[in-house]
Amino acid sequence: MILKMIFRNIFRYKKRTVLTLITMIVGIYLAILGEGLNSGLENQITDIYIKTDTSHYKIYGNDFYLEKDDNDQLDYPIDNLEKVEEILKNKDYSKRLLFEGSITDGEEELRARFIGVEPHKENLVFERNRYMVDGSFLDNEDSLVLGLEMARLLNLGIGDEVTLIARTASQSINAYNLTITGIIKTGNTIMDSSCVFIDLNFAKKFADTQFINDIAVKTLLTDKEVNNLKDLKIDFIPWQEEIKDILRITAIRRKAFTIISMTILIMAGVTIANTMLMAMLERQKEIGIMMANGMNNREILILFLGEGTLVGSLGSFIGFIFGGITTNYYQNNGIEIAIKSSDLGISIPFSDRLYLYFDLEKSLIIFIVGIIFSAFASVYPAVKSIKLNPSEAIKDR
Amino acid sequence: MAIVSLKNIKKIYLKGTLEVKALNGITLDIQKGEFTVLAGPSGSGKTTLLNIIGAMDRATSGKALVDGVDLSLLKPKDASNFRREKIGFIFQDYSLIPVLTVYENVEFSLDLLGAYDKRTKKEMVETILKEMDIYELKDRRPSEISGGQQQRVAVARALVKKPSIILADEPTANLDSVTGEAILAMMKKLNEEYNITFIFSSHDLKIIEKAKRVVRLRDGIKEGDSS
Repeated sequence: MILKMIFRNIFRYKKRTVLTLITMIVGIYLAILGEGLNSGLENQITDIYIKTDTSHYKIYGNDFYLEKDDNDQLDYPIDNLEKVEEILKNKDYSKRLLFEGSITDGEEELRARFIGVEPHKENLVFERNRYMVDGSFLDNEDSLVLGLEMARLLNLGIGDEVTLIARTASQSINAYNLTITGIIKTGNTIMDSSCVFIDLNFAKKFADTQFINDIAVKTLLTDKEVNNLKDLKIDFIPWQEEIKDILRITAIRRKAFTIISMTILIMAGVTIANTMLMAMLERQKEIGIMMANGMNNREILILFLGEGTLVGSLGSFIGFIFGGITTNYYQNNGIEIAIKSSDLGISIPFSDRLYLYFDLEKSLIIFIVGIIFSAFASVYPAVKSIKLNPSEAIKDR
Repeated sequence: MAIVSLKNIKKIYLKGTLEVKALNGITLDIQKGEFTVLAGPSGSGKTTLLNIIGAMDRATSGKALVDGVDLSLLKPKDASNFRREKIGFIFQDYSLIPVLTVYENVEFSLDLLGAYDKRTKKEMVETILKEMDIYELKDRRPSEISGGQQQRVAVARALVKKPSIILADEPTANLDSVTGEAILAMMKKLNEEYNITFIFSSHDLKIIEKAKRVVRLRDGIKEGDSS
């Protein structure tokens, strides 16, 4: 009977119930959408880094990584290459030579990050071919592939000749003229605006070195393999370490999202509390009748807690469904982003489409938190109702 | 032994800083099966006395024994149990639960008792609804029936659980005289048939005339007691 009364009471004041439901639906919907946005952004940033830049592990020359921003990478060659390659036998990895320089079309000059690679191995690790928007990815030693954003900035295309300028390992200046054979759009805006891919043999000639200074490893390694690599005099850096600053920022953003979501849910809870309090005040006489018939405090408490919790649960469920559908839609189709990370003045790469991620577990937690908040929000009106004196309550008009 | 035994019952309310003596030393015994009217003008203490007998309110002082239970010793939970088992209430404005149908309003009393299975409850509810001549209305909500019909439902709800005492606070005050008399006649019949103790308040002379016993109250004091 109590359950029947709970159901009927919530549909008794339809407009009020609908308004309360809407508050809860919007609260849960926004929280799930926010969570999807957050997870999507986090996954996309991580994904872009792994797929375009860091791979799963990076190997650098000994002592390079700790102060990598101040170090000239050409000064830190990988000395134990043979031993490293022995451990990485049968794994997907790309040996690379990285150095800084500039690129000019004769009129404008831009800073560039030259990446010398073996095209086949680079493709195994990063699938560069898949992201070519024009031309092909390094057919021969004289090939040159520019990031799309850099090509746009210099207004260059396939067949245009450019001059590459860099300081060699022996600190002398070297320059080469090459013709652009490919334009790539990796989706990593930082790479697309600064990276220049060249053949590894040409890169060694250009930088005047026989060494390489960077290995990107795609295959996940066993603990034993990791330990063996760490025993060598190299810097072995997993992707989490490589992007730890970014992960820190995302963790802060996640906390901010959580606070915002909780605030929205608390506001929704306050609406439920308000609705239930109004219901309790309007139904004092009814409470008196129930008390007169022998309904005890526990049963009245269940009635009011049940009504608030049911409205909250219903709102949470609808919000969960709509939030899930919307997040799933944007997970598949993405949202067009009109701004670039460089416009925001931050060094976080993301592509021009943001794909949300529907995390069922986290969404269910939000749904359950919504129900718990609703139950808590109903406690005060419920407790207030059982504190009524039956003889006073029944006199209420 | 009296089913209701009140000794020097006082009830004092505070209105701001002012003390209002709603009942001022009422002593009264009511025997099982009596049909008693508490008569008196508004503010004489009739409703307060009914509330105290029904454990809806607590006396400030004095001793109230109802069906062997000392009401001054009841905790809130025990008071709820006492009301659900021993008391049937009927109010002036019918006081039905608006979200429940006629059938469910009557069933509500039995549900709270929790003593009967579904089939027995159905039989009990249908029997009383037929006896009250409101069986045809069983699926209607209180808002869909007349005042007289609502009061019949209220009587059915009070009676269905076979309480020791039925307390009725001005049960005919909101009804036209014909309906009021019909309700009263029905209550008298039930009193005679089931030997249930009826105590009700009224200031309607027509009703008072029909009672077996009239306890007159004025300003919280028992002014008279006639059979």
